[in-house]
Amino acid sequence: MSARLRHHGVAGAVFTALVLIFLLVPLIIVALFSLHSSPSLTFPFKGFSTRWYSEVFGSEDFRESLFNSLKLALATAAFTLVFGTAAAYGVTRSGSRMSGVGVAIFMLPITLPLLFVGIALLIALRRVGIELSLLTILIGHTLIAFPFFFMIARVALERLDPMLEEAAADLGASPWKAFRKVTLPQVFPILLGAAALAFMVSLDEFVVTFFVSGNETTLPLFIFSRLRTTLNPSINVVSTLLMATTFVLFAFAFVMAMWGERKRARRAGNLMDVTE
Amino acid sequence: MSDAALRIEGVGHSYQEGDPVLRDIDLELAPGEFLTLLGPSGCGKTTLLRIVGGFIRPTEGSVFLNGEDVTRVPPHKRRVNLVFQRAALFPHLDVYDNLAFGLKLAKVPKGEIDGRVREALELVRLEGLAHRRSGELSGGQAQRVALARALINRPEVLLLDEPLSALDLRIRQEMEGELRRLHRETDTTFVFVTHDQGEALALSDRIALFDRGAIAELGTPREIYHRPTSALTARFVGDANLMPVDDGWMVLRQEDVVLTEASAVAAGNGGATNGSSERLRGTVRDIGFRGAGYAYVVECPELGEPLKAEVPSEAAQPLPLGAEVFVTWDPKVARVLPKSS
Amino acid sequence: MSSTPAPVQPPSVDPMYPGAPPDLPPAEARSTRGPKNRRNLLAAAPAAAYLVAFLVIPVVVLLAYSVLTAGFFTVTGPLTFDNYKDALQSNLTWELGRNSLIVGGATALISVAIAIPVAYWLRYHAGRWQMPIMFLIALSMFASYLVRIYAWRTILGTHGVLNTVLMDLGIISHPSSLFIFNQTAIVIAMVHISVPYVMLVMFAAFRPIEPRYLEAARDLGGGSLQRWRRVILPLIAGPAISSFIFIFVLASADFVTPQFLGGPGDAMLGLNISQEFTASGNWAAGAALSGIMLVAYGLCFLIAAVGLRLTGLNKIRWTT
Repeated sequence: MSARLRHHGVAGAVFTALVLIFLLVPLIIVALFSLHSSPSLTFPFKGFSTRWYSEVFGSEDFRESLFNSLKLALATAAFTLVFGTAAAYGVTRSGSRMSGVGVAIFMLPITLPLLFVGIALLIALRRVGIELSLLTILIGHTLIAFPFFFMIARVALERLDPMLEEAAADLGASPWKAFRKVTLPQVFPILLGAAALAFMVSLDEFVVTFFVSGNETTLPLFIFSRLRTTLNPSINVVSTLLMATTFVLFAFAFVMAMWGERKRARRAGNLMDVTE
Repeated sequence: MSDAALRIEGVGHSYQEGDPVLRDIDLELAPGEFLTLLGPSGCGKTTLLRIVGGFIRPTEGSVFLNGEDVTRVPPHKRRVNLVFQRAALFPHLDVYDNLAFGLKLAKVPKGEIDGRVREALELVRLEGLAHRRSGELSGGQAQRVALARALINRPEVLLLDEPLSALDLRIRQEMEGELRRLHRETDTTFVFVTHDQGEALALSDRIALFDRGAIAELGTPREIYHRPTSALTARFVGDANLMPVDDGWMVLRQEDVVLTEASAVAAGNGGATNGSSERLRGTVRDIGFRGAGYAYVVECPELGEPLKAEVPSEAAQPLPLGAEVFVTWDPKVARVLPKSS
Repeated sequence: MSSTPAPVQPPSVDPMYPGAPPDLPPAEARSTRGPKNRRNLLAAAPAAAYLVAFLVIPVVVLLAYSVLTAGFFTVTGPLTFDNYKDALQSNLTWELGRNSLIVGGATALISVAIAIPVAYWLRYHAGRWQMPIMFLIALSMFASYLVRIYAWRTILGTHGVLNTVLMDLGIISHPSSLFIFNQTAIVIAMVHISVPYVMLVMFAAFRPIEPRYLEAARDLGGGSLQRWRRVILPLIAGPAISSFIFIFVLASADFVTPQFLGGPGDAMLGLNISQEFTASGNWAAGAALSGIMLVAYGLCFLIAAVGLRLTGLNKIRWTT
């Protein structure tokens, strides 16, 4: 490798390291100060303590937000799993020009700034006279999470060997049976990962929730309200909890995707590479 | 006599883009027949197979299975089974479950399934592999399981979509023999698609040669090889030489070409001409040794394309590269065919 | 493919019989990719209906509101363009618009400028560090939006980490309020939020550019700059521009960062809109502002799409 390229390599590595520091250090600091023994949010670090964790978990408001967030996230994951899979199936297995329109619709929530999604939903609900509640928040969450799930499910379904579904049909399976017995077993790990992603998106969702929540709070709303009053490590606690949950879910989704991909590749590869 | 096992009437198919892929196909298969659909890629043979399988609904025409019109019947309701080019075994199931798949869907009782799976494995000579995972099979084994998976359902017609083309040469030859045996032992009607004319000649009761969506020739392997009715057939099956004559082509098979070195004839020894006045001059441009014979490529100024000849290897010394030769043949074996439309 | 070795068997080839037309496109290859049935589209219908009902229609309603008369937390007839007139004539709107533009543009520019070198390094020089680093970057993407804004609030604040560290290092003698409550702070936070997205997109963009293409370019005598201009840039221009626009839209419409990291003069359009809908109650005005923003964004998409098409950059396809 030429000297110049080696320089590229080193310069690039340094730059990347700096970028990684920029991205991760602020988050680490937040997590760190959740264990601060004093209310200060800056150095010097006075010592470790779990007092803020106790305070937060002792708060009625927090427990309610936590509970709400979890319920919403679970419902969002379930909703996207069912309807997202159906949508991805419809779009990839119809061979019709209309599927392009479908894809555009399904990806819409990502292309619009969340601000507009939120206020549009708000006024529409008000117009029809629906009271703001957990249900309306759920509607918002499912809207936002849908494109994420759909994108993944669609790719997963498209990468499946189509001959397998034909073989299933040939052997007597109706389209539904073929889906259940052949398609689904193969994509299930990836779909689970995608559902975990939807769960994550719901948990973290703030913007749309801000507009369509009535008296209920979610974890992000809880953080928001505390942000406007006092800044102390209790906010760090909630933030850290959110980050930790997100981390676990993301790792889970990642592992699922890798596992599903390796299974598929190994099987497909095995059947083909013995021919040459 | 009994109904045709498979009857294809006036089937044609075009995609939205316009050009027809199949044009007015008529075919009738007797029960237990082995018919091959032969042709180059794009000729429509696979499309026809998929129409018979139910995966494509033809834009014109009808398909009859044992007298019943199945043109509009979806694949999972037809009593035909397809063997795919690449096995297409279900990767998440083992061999047993792959084989039992169709039977379970047909609600065959468990006890009977066991028996039939064992039978099927014996048929394709893979006893003992019932619980192997499909990913662990070799190409040849997978293709046999695919055959078994199709035959276990006792279909009225078995469709095979170039099942050997993805296999190693040696395995392919072995599988050719297996296919012949399976055909005999199960007495099922086979419709076999391939672009390999060697396979077609070796396996079929009849061959349908396809050209641009229509059947160019239909006949037994011997008929097609020795008495082709069109230049296309002659060229595609056996790569015969086609020499332009007045209103058509003269077909001369490679093994019927006689080459004699010009110098030998001039010197008056060797190179028996066979009393024919038909002869051309040419130059040897290429020689390939094939074991049983030599494959020559001779350039003749009167012909537009090089002439190919096969000469048995024990006959004489091979002609040297660049040699001037006379090309002759027995006029009785050469046929004249009309120009292809 | 090769033929069976019976005695007189020439290789079987696609027909080159006399008078053969040029090879047909393999119609059979494109026939089906799996069982396709137009009826399957129905499976997607429930989801589509849901999205139409709760997204498409509400947005249409929003736009409709922009041409109706304002009430208190409601709108009434008659139809009017007054809302738009008022919005466009108000100095406030232009000031907010300018702020949004600056924040959006700066964020997009910086994010893309950061992401490209990192993606380049990851693709060609990272070796076995590639996956772990990508994982870390993707991970940071999933940290909650609000959490990140909070993180910067505490770091950049007057009593925040940055100030403390600088004082400890002796660089400054007392806390500076330079870092917070201004546009810089807003942009820093938005960049923090945006970089992971752009990183992923640019990494995907670099993926198909195999190192051998760059080597070939080098062999053919191109200098570094040449290589970038003629080989790399055209290939990543599309994704780079799309990400730029995506981040621009994301950042300029934000309403949380101005609240917590911006100063009094740093309000942005999004903030104003959100206040109209939650506090002030002038929905028609809010809707008009939204309409203006949506039209502006639409124009951006259009310009980018046209630009890409004119320069032929959207037609680049890989042949291998």
